[in-house]
Amino acid sequence: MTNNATHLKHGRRDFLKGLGAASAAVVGATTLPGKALATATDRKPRYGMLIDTRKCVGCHACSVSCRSENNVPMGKHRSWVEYIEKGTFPDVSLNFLPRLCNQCSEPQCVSVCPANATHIRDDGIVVIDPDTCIGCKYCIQACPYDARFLNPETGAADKCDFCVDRLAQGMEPACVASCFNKARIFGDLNDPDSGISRMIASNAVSVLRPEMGTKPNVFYIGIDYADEHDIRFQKQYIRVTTHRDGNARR
Amino acid sequence: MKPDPRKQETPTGLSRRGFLTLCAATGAGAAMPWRSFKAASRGLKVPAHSWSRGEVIPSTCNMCVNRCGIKCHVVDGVLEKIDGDIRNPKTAGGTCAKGQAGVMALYDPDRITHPMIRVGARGEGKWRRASWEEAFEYTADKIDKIIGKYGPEGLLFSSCTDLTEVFFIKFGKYLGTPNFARHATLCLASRNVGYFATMGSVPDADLVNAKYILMFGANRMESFELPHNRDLIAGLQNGARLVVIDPRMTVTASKGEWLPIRPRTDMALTLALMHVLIMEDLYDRDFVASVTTGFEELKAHVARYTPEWAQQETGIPARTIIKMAREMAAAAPAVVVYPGRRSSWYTNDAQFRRTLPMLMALLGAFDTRGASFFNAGKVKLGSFDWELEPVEVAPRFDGFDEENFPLAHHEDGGYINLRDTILNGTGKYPVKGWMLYKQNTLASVADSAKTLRMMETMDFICAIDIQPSQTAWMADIILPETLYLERLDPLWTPAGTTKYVGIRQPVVKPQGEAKTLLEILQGLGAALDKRREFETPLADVFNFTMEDYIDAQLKKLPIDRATLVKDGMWIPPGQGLKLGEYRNGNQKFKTPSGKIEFVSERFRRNGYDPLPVYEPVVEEPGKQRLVTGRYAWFTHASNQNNIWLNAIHPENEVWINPDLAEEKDIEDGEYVKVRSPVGEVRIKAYVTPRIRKDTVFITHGFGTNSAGQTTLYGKGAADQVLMEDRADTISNNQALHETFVEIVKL
Repeated sequence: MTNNATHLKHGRRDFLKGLGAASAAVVGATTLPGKALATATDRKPRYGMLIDTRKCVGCHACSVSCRSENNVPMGKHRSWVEYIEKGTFPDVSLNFLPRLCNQCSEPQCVSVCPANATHIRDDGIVVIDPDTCIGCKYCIQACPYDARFLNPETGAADKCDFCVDRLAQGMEPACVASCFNKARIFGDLNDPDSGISRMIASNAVSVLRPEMGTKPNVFYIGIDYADEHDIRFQKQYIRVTTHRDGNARR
Repeated sequence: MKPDPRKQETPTGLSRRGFLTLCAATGAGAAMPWRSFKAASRGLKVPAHSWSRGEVIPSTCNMCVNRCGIKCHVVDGVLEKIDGDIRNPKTAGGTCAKGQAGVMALYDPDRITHPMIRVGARGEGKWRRASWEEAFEYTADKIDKIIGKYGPEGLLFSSCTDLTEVFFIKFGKYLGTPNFARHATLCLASRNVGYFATMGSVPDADLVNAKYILMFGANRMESFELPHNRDLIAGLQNGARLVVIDPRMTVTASKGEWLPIRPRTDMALTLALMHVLIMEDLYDRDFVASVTTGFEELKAHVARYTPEWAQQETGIPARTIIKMAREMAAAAPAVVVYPGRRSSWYTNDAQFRRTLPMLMALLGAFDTRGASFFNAGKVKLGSFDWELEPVEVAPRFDGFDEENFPLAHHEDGGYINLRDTILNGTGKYPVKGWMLYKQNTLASVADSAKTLRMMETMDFICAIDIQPSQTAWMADIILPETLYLERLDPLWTPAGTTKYVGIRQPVVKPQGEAKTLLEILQGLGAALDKRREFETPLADVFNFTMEDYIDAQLKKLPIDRATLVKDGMWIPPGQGLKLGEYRNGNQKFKTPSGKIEFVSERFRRNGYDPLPVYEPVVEEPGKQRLVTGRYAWFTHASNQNNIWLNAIHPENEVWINPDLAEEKDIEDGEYVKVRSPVGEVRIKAYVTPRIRKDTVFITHGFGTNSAGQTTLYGKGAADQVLMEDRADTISNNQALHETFVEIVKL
């Protein structure tokens, strides 16, 4: 596939002799904001998302719904799905990792911005003011999740904002609304009774790259994550297909 | 101007009510420039849209055949976003990537929005724009000439399943032709014949409550069939075991246990499973005694099909087969032996499909919770009274009839034998005109070189389509139809676990001069009436509006059209299923014996093996079996050209097992040649352990010959170029997985 952001493959020998068994993915320890925040007196919402990858079938409804809702230019992505293939025939696993901006509580993109064009709203959503943004791309470099891009139409940095337009109308983000299997739960992490808080409290959840200290507010259940580190240290076939490079803007 | 939402705070706390209500309030303020999706897709600067303006119109999706409930957000006459309809019992608000890309389909720059008449050679791509008046006269002239020379039976009508297809078929019938070719024999005809003979109908499945789900090739998580794909996830969440039998690891297989079976040996597995159930006395004695016939014959028949024998055939270890049978028996009756949908695999497919309800019956896994069941009945729509006598017609030209295919559905036609009949000149009479309605034969029927040759024999080809598909590109005239977002369609009602009446209605005005199928047939009928006296004037046949048609459908229901238009659907009281009527004998199966027939009386009467006999598989050494299938973002060969969907997967690949790639020294991502007895293509290699070494996979719908499909043109390769033209011997369903190909390093 041309549209692989990363195609991670071992030497053919290793690949054939691959260990087969899927090994532990590089994911962080369980974070339980529900518990920590349940006692908070502050009732301001902090929006977050929980993605149950066991229910995800990688259908890309979220990706296209996001493109339609947010008018994302071709070749750029606010929301995408990674296919992660591991193993040796016939012991193969295929898992899906829907990706979006993690709406971090400690976002590196905000701290590096020289123009103060990006900030955390009171409800926790990290937003960009395209009129203030000078297009220096510092934030794009700083983001450990590759969630930001330079929008060629506005000249400003761009990324997922949990569909703030829809939220203002009392609607769920487009990716959440379109998900057939309800693999995505959106809601207020500060409210211990919200669906998302209850799910987080009662399940083993993880975040992407917790070692970066960014404190993401996008949580996952049943994650299988792979990056360059895995292929370097694990002797097995791993392929990550992101479906991000197809049909770049013409 | 609307305030920039990015600087605005959202209201604190989203109430559940807020989530459930789509806000359709129209705000005051200056008109926003409408965003052009053509511009957007090409990367021009366009403003983001606003949910605070415009209206939300409920309708029914048509990006595939599932007909999900949608809500269309329209601002100043422009469709800006499609959301799922949360009230829809089948979808509960979900849509898929294709449903979302309906917006792009509507504003696709490649859409045909005015009639086009070919001026160059066929397929050369030279067209001129015509008015509708000219288009009708031109088409009527050609049809009239064919009728004059060959009679109305000189016309072939090809169509794909849709709500309006009935009009196209009626048009052909009142012209007086018996020659139709429909979707079923490209898809599920063999499954239907197998199930109908065994138990009278194809059952639905209670996947939510099943404890064990066995799927043969069915790929519900990429090839959606609602609500089954949602139910399957719900079932897995409820702890169901899913076992998927497939030479390729599909997304569905990835969610369960994948058994990579040697292709075409599925029947060996089902027979061996029955062997174990019977020999180990694990079958449901009560169920077998009360609602089945022919058990003793079956017992004797499967005695030779041991698990050890099946291991030799399928490559699945005997101990796995024994374990499967025991586990299924332990989970019974909450077991689903899934019928599958597209069954156009092998030439013995109807016989293989028969073994699925037989296995189901041995487990007693029918008409109870967590098992297969017959739908308790859908909402009964009134039928439109055509008030016309049927026209006398000649017998079919191609011998697809009672005599040669006694158990098949003859009106569906079958492309493989009809094409051969035309090419060999062996028909009862010549067929020289071809009317196509949203049917992409070149991309859908095996061996496209043959289809091209068949097109050469035609005096006239007319395609009614929304885009210059591979087939429309070879036509003499293309009549542009409206998209599902631009038209009113007949009402529909689903069969299955959910009951409702849905409406598909226009949410925007048609692009360009596109007309609905009904308008096209009315125009064409009037032009034909001027030329020739039909038994029933065509103008009389189509002397009604879609509103009339819908009102007739609503006659016996306690709702009116206006309510449906407003609500988009009507959900009657009394949802839910009534199970047990077949188990307790109150309901009879629609088979000669009224029971589930292990020994099929219909098959026996018509000279087919009354019990499924396994045929050993013959493979070609050094070659791989070619199989095809779907990705979740494409429907058949219909929307690979959609800019948003094509971006997910711009080019198809041939899946190759790593061991085969090593033998052939093929690197992942390099272009290879794939050669079959009927054609060869150049295609990119996708080296993956998700497929057996003796099998290669190519998805469908790429390698277009139509330069009018500007996004797709030049990308990937067509599987139909490679496939040999085989068909199931009983149902006439085409058999797409019977071709062996050679992978050649370039």
